[in-house]
Amino acid sequence: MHAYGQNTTASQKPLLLVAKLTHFTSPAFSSAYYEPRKSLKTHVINPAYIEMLPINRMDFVYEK
Amino acid sequence: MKNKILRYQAFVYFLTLTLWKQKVKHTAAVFISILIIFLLSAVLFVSSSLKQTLLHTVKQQGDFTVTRLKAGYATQTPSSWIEQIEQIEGVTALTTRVHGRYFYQPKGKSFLVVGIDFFDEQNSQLLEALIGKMALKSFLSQESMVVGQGVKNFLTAHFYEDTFSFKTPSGAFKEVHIAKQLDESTNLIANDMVIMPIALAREIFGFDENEVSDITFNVPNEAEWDTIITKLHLLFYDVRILDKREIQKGYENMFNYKGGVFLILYLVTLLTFMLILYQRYAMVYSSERKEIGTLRAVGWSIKEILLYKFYENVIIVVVSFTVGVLLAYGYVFLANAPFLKAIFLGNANLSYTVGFTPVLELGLLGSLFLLYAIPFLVAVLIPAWKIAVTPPKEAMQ
Repeated sequence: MHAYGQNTTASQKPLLLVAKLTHFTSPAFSSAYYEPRKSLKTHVINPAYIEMLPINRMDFVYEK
Repeated sequence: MKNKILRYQAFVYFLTLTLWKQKVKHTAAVFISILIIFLLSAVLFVSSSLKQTLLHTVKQQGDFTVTRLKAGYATQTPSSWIEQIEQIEGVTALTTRVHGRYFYQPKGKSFLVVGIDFFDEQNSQLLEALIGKMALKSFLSQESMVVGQGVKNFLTAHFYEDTFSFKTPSGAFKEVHIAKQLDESTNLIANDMVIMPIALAREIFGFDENEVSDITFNVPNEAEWDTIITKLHLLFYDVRILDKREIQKGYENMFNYKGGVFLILYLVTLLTFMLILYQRYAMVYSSERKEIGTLRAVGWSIKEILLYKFYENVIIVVVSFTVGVLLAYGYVFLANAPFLKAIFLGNANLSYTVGFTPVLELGLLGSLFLLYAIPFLVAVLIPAWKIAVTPPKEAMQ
C-alpha cells in the first residue's frame, strides 16, 4: 500500500488525537438513530451494511 | 537491417493511420472502457483510503474494551471493575468512558456523546493538543463540550450558537456550553461526536456515579492477550471483551465486502463488453472481416495481422485505462467522491464532508489492468486469428 500526495501524518494528527482520546475509531456513519454505529458491541449480521440490525432486535420498532 | 527499420516504420505509420481513420469506430469501445475502469477504480480508491485511515487510527485505540452484558445487550459497567482488572499483571492505561447516542427528537437526528475522565492527566493533555491551551481553560471552567463539525453545523442551523440544552432522562434540561469545534480533518470519526467531561455525560444519560459504559486498557505484550482474556472471563461472568484484533478484522471486512460487491458487478459488465467485442469480429459481414481479408490478399502474413491487431488494441486498452484511473483519482481525491461516499458512509443523519487521504494500491491497480487488458485482447485476437487463417477470398465474401 502506498500513500502519497500530501503529508499524511500531519493532516491525520487531529484524527489520531481524537481516536486516542475517545478510544473511538469507528467511522461516523451518517446512519439513522436506530442504526448502531459500528461500536462493535452489537452483533452485526451484514458486514456490508453494518447499520442493518439483527432481526431479533425489536427496539427500532418502538423507537420509531 | 535498414530494410527491417523501413518495414517497421511503415508498419507504425499504417497502424497510426488506420487508428486515426477509424477513430469513430473505436470511440464507443474507448468510452465504455473508460466508464467501467472509472467506476471500479473510484470504488477501490474510496475503500482503500477509508481502510488505510481506519487501520491507522485503530492503533491509537485501547487494546481491550470491557463491557457488562445483560440479557445479551451491553449495559452499564460498574466502575468497581477497574480495581479488579488492575490486579491482573501486564495491564496498563486503564480508563473509563461513558458514551451513547443522544437523540434530538424534533429533527430526528442523533449525536454520539462521549464522556471522558479529564482528571486523568493524559486525557487532559490530549484534549489540550486537540483544541489548544486557551480553549482547554474555557472548557474546564464551566460545563462545556467539544463538538464535531457535523454537530456544530446542525446546532448552528437550529440557533444553538453557544450553548445546547440536553434533555436528561429525569426530564430536566442541562445547558452545556459549546467550547470548540473539532477540526474538519477529524470528520471521518468525529463528525457526529460530542466530547464532554465524564460526570456531565453521566448526568445526560442518567448513569449512576459508579457506572460507566465501558472500560478500556492496554496490554503492551501481545503474547499475553489470550491469557488476559481468560483471566477476565474468570473474574466476571457477564462480560463482553473486545480486543483490537477484532476491530481491525471488522474494518478490513467492512470495506472489502463493499468493494467486492462492486467487483462482481464489474466482472459481469466486463464479460458483457467482451462478448460484444467478440461478436463485432465474429459477425459474417463485419467490416473487420473484410479488412483482414484485404490485408491477407495484399500479402500480409497471419503473424503480421495478429501483431497489427494486437498493437491497435493495446493502444486502446492503455489509453482507456489511464484516462479511467486518472478520472477516478480526481473524482475521489480532489472532488471528495460526491454520491459515491454516501454508499460507504450513509446519509441518513448529519451531513458531513470527508476528505479522502490519497492511497494508491499499486498491486490492486496492476491486477485491475490485467483483469481488463487480457479479456479485451483475447476477445479481439481470437476472432481476428480465425478470420486470418481462412482464405482471403472467403473472408471477404
